[in-house]
Amino acid sequence: MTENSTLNRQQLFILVTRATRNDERALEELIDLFDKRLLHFVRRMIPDPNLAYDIVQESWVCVYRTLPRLREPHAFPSWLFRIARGKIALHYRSHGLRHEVELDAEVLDASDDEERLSADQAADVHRALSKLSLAHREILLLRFMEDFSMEEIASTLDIAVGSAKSRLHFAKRALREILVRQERGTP
Amino acid sequence: MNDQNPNSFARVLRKIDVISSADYAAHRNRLAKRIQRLRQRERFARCILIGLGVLAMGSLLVVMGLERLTRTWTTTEPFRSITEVVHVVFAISWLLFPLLLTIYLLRHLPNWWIASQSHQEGLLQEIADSKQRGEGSNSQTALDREVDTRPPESRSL
Repeated sequence: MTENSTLNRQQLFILVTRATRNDERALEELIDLFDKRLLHFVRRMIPDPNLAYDIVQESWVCVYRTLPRLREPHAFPSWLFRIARGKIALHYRSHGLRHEVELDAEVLDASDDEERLSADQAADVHRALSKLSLAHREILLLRFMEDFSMEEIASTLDIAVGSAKSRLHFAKRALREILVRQERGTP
Repeated sequence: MNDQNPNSFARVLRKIDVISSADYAAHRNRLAKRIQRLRQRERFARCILIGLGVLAMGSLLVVMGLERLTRTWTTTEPFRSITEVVHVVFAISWLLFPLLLTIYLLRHLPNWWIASQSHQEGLLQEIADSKQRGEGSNSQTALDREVDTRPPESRSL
């Protein structure tokens, strides 16, 4: 973890507090820090890349408008993802649920032997992930890609911690089943 | 996919980059412009409100002056009708000013109020205190936990 790209909670708290007091520079720093993470999340939930960018933009505009009302600066990451999630839900509600994400993704160089994971395997997982329901996909992304704690996930999804745990369990099971089916070559 | 040790699954998830740098740069530019526009619009609206308030106040003063003038100087018929007009303008400006003031306060007061919430001040103070206390020791408070803000694809595990 490099010094520039990680913040301890105290620094994050101060940065968010500055932003809530209309500090323009602080908001820019928050965008620098969280924008790519948010984009990765939204991109995996929305099939159309342009729409994903739009949703991220809308989320930031919403953050800009409502940040002064954020009462718990600590909760900024989960609050931000909750806003994006709301925008995604709104999109699906207004356009009908079509949640398979076709990733026109560029597979990164898989030369890292330590990881022992080929680009093919990664593509398989992403294909399986795209077949999951939105609820299962988002909880897996928040837990494993964003490293959110169960409390943060519960806050983002607006559910109880126990429900988050059980949803995560079922999401993992569903993903496992899809991966097994993919391996066997059955639809 | 162990819940306690999500690294192997996370590694797979982060294996694919879905963001092209050109698209991302365009997105950031667009976002910066949008926020800039919002800020300008907000400033403009604030200026308009303050301007209208000042205008209302100014016109009120003018009207009050005019009203006084007409009351003292007029005895003839046409001037009396002017006085009536002046009274109407006077009443409108009296209405307009508190209305604008109320709109402005409703729009901005919640932000000022919450931004200056004492609990935030208290938390900032608490951080400062914990910093002072923690300087001598190695103890980590909950506030010191690290938050990884790097984009997923660039995190090393």
